Amino acid sequence: MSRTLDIKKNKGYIKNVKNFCHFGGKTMRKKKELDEMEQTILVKSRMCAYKFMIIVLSLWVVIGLFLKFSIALPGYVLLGELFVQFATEQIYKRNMEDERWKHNSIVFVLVTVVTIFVAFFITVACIGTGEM
Amino acid sequence: MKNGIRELRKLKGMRQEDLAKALGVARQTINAIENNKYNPTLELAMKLAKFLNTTVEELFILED
Repeated sequence: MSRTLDIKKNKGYIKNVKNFCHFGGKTMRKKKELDEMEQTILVKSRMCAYKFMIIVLSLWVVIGLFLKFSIALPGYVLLGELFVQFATEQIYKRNMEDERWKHNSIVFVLVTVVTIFVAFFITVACIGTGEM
Repeated sequence: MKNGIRELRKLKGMRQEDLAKALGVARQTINAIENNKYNPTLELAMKLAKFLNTTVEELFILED
């Protein structure tokens, strides 16, 4: 049975109209707002899920390296996730007037540049020596 | 962290549900705070103290 409600038909029965919203031509009950303890629980459970996903992806990458199968998918997801986490962390630090975001951003840019340079140098060296 | 919310609430003759409704949280949240299972945010702690006519320092006791 559909859980959607029609306010016009049920006008006499729906007293709290603010708890309903319109979506796709239908009237639906809004999702309950979480109180602070529920939000804390939700954040903690999401952290657990996030750690679990990081562990699974890391294991996938490690096993893939040993067994020589493609690790592009878990690798990109892992790197992307870590990058988003780092970036949002710096944004929150900046919003909270924690000046360490500048230092962290400089270190990140330097590490990225050095990594790209080393990768480029190794590739050029391999081509130069005829190994590629 | 200990607190005297249960005692003060009972002195006022209120149920957990009434206090929860007055503060805009769930009854379960009040229960968890009373049983020292959850530390409320500063905002809720101040609301609790104000509602129970006391101060945050008197309501919450930091244990060593």
